[in-house]
Amino acid sequence: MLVMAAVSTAVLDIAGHERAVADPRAGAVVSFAGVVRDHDGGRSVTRLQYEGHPTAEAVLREVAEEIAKQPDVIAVAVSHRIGELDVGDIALAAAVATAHRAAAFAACARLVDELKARLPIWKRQVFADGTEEWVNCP
Amino acid sequence: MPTVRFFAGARAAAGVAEEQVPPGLTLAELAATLASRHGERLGTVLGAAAFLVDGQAWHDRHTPLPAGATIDVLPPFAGG
Repeated sequence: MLVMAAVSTAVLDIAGHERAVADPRAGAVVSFAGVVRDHDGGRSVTRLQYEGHPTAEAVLREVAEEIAKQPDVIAVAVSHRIGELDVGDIALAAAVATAHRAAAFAACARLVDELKARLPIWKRQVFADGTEEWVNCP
Repeated sequence: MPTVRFFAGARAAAGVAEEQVPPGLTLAELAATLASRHGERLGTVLGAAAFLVDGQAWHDRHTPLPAGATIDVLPPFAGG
């Protein structure tokens, strides 16, 4: 069951995603936080901006539904934040509940990998020296 | 006339968020037109970008784009 799938500027909270997937059948809840780090490629990062295409939330929902439909997955909750983020802020929050832990680890990892590949969201890094770049953009 | 919308690094390379282009171009002709308008940096981004035409993925480089279409230029994603 997909219980949460959102793209917004709201501050993200892992505990809230874990609570959202809580279920009496769930023996395992695996969560993931994608966090803004202070370095990339050896350079010091001070700030990040995430921009989403208008379809980003629909794509997030589509990917999360695929994971939620797997037979051993009980519940999925996932959100991506966009806008200006600081070091330490959560950009991607996900939680997956299953009966047993191996399935939860695998489903959460697959969810994050699929989102990395398919979610139309972009990231601009501002470095300590004032330069900036759109990540992955040639 | 078709409208092109540039996102993220494509917008940075184009210097505009959107613009109109002549009707009847193929995707390959559109890319060449945009690169000649805005420079080789945008040309490089277009080489790595994905395209949506009226919200649907569009891979065909040789069929004319629909009249009045909205073409979204999506550089490589970097979410998470």
